[in-house]
Order: sequence, then structure tokens, then C-alpha cells
Amino acid sequence: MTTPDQKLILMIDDDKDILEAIKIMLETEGFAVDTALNSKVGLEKVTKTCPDLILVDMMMETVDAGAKITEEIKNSGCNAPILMISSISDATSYNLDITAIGFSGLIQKPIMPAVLIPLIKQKLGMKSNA
Amino acid sequence: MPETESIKKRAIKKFRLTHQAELVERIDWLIRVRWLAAIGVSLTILVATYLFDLLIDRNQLLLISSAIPLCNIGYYFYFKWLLHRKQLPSWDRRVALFANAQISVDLIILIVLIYTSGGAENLFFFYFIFHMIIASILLSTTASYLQATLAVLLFNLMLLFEGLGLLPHHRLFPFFEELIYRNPVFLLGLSAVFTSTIYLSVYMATSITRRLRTREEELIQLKDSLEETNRECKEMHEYRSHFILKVEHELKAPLAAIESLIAVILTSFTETLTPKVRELLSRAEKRSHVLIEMIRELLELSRMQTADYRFDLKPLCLESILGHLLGILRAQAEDKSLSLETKFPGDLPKVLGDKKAIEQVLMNLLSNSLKYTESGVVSIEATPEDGFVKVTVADTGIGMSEEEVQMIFEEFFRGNQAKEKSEGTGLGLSIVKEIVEGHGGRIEVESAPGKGSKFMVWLPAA
Repeated sequence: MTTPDQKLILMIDDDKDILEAIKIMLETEGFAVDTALNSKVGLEKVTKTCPDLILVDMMMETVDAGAKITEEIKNSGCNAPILMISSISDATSYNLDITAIGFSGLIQKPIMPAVLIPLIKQKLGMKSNA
Repeated sequence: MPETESIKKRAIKKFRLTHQAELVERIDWLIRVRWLAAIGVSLTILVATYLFDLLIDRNQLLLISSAIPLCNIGYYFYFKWLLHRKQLPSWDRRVALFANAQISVDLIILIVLIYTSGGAENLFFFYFIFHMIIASILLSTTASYLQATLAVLLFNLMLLFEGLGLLPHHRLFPFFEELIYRNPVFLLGLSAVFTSTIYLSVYMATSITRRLRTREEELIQLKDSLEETNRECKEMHEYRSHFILKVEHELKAPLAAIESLIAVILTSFTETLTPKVRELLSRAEKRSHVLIEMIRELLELSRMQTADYRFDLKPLCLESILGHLLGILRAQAEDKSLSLETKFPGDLPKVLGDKKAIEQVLMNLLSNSLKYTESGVVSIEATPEDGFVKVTVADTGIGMSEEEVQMIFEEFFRGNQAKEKSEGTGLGLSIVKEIVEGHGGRIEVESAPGKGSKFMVWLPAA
């Protein structure tokens, strides 16, 4: 249950360990975190409650699962900023134009708190504790 | 009836040609050359009759020779019609028959011209050889011999009918003995020479053509085989590219999870850890980070080595790239009290290169120099040299032995002293070499233990 001031972040990734690690990182910073292990569950949760920010892994069931779920999220009417998580060192490996797809930014795995937290705060318009 | 059909089929099959496209091209050439032949024959008739005292009817000859261009007009339009009807059944058989028919008609016109301009007296019977050569190139061997037999038959029939008086003789030369065309010895000799010349020329021409066709078939087979191999290579490259991307994901995903989990422990549970546990976890994090870097670099190297990898080449200003990189590395140099010296001439030409790749090369060389130098200087110099820009990165660091210098660009190789100093993948310089050589440049190194290293990179000037 989130408090009124607490920002809700939804993370969609098929890696349970990454979900656990990021959940702890974000909850330590005071965010409320919900997780989904696949695109279907992720879309259901977005449709139920539009979070403040969404983290989406690019490669899940298919190579471009992240791109597909992003399109569906946009079509559902939820305007939360979406950050793409990828193991591929460069979006150009798959010839992806991330802004054309609808992502607000890119984070590379391994996700480190020092990179993730400032980026999320920036996207949410929050002050960073630099 | 069925037997007649199969004989007919066998006969027609003999006229088939194995190289249809070549035949079409050559029929086109034959039709074009026939226009010149028509002009040549008419001119010869005119010149010969005006210049020499000959007993032939010029107008009759010109009338007969007009059959050449008239037939050629017919051939031209029929050929055009045929080229648009490739869907017709037995199209290639029609083309072969058309080629045969042209040559047969040419032979008939030639014998009529020879008959009406002296018959046995006319030396232009040698022109049958041209038709035999053309037939040998255009038609199958059997068809060529059949055409030769037609030529021999026509010529000998002409000699026979003239000799027997069944056909009137048209005198050519006023000084020739009038009845030479009835002299059996002369006629037999003429027939023997003509017949042997015709068959010999067909034999020689078809032998040469057969050899050429065999070579051509071998080349076509080689080309097919190369195309097949090329197709297989491309499929393998595509498969390899997809495989590399899959491998990258599958290898990096668990490592990324390991690093993130360790990072979370170190940041969110730091108070519950003893200093020793924190230290061990920190070392584990560093080792997994090196492994991730190694995977990234190895896959990058693998990608660069695929045949279809292309750099995005543009003119680049080396000074601004180096200035940007030195700005990033200056803090590291100051931490170690190292001096960073740069030397660029004012008129340094731009280099033609992929910006990201060139930055990677220079960053790798500079960061290596800083990593392996404890005191002294790291210097960067750029000079133009014979259409290239030579960039020299020199340091006063740990240096390398002669054996290490030989191996330094090999994948995963790291010098002993380098291994003692810090973690690394051993792939950085392999990537640097791949990039530099991919740009058409070269890289060399001079080094001695304890005396530092000097890396020299030549990049093509824009």
C-alpha cells in the first residue's frame, strides 16, 4: 500500500533476482515497488493502477518484448515515463530507436544504485541527493 | 509413326544448343553483321564490274544480292517476335531452328550468287568457309556438319549441272578457256579441294568451340559453386550474428543479476556486514564486473570480425577528440602526480574515421598508459605522415619485454607485470588493433621493461 506522497514504480523483468535486487534498492530510497515477471502480468497491473514510473526489460519472452509492452502501455492511456533495461551494450545492436518506441531512457545491466536512483529521480522530477 | 516421331525428335534435338543465352546474343550479332555483308556484296559487285572486264550481268547479281537484306529484315522482325515469346513451348528449339535456317538460307543465296557470276570459274567459293566458322560457333557439332554437307552438296550440284549442261553456264572471265567448266579433271580437283576445305574448317572450328565450351561449363560450375558457398557463408554470418546477440544476453543476464545483488547488499545492508565480509563482497563484485566487461569486449571483437561490419567514416578532428578524452583522464593523472603532455602541429589534417571507434582506440591507449605508469610522463603527439596522421602515445611506465611486445595484441594476453598491477580483460588492445586495421591504418609498439612503452597508430587522413 502506498502513502499519498510515495511514488509507485512498476518493474517488468523475467529475472527474479534482478527484480529482488532492484526492489530492495528502490524501497531503501523510499519508493513503493511492484513487480511483474512477464509482459502479460505487467500490462494487467498497469491497466489496474498506472504507476509513476515503469522499468521494462527489453528481452523477455521475445527479443523485442519490451518494445511491444511499451506500445501496449501507451495505448492503455498510462503516461508514466518508461525506462528500458537492456543487457545489450548498445540499443543499435537491434537497430532500436528508443525514443521512437516510447522509452524515456535506457539503463544497462548490471543496474547499480548510483546510476539507477539519480535517473529515476530525474525522470520523476525529484531532487537528487547528490 | 511413333518411330518417325522419335527420329524427328532426335534430329531436332541435334540442333539444340546448350548455351541458349549465348545463342540469342550471337543470333543478334549475326543479323547485325549480315547488314554489313549485304553492303559488302553489293559494293564488290559494283567495283568488280566497273573496274574489271568481266562478262557478268551486274543488275542480275545486284537483284540476287538484294535477297540478303530482304531476308535479314524478315530475320530481324521474327527475332524480335521470338524474344517476346519465351513462354512458348519448345522456345529454345525454335531459336535453334531459326539459327540453322538463317545459315542454310545464306548458303543458298551464296551458291546462287556464285553460279550467276561464273559458277566453276568464280573463286568466291572460299567464302563458304566464313559460314562454316559461324555455324561451328553458333550451332551444335552435328548441325555444323549438316550445314557443311549442305554447302558441299550445293556446290557439287552446281558443278555437276553446269558440267552436264543441265544449267546454263554464266561466263566470268573473257580470258578463261570457255569449256573449263566442263573439264572433268578441273571439276574433280575443284570439288575435292572445296569438300576437304569445308569439312576441315568445320572440324577445326568445332574442336576449338568444344574446348571453349568445356572451359565455359567448368567456369559456370565454379561460379555456381562459389555462389552456393557465398550463400552458405552469408547464412552462417547471419546465424552467427543472432547467436552472438543471444549469447551476449544469456551470458550477461546472470552476471548482471550477481552484480546487482552484491551492489544491493553493499548499499542497503552495509550496517549488518563485518568489514571483512564487505571487502570480500567488494572483490567478488569487481571480478564479476571484469567478466561482464570481458563478455562485452569479446562480443564486440567478434562483431567487428564479421565480413559485413562497417565503420561510419567521417572526417574527425583529432585534437578535439583527444582534448575531450584528456579532460576525462586528467583527474586520474593528477591523482598519480603524472604529467600529461600534448604536442599537435597547428595544421594537423583531419582523420577519416568512425568517431566512436577512434575515441575507443585513443581512450584505451591513454588509460592503459595512465594505469601502468606510476611516475613520470604520459605524452600524446600527432603528426602528418604520407597521407596518414601518426598518433604516438608514450609513457614512462612498467614497459614490456620483447616477448610481451610480440604478443600484446593477442586476445586475452596480459603482461606479467600488468596482471600484478590490476584487473583487466586482455582484449582492449585486440579491439584497438581491429579498429585501426579496419580503418586502413596500422599500429606498432616499442617498449622495454622498466623503460615505458610507446604506441604508434597511423590513421588515414581525410
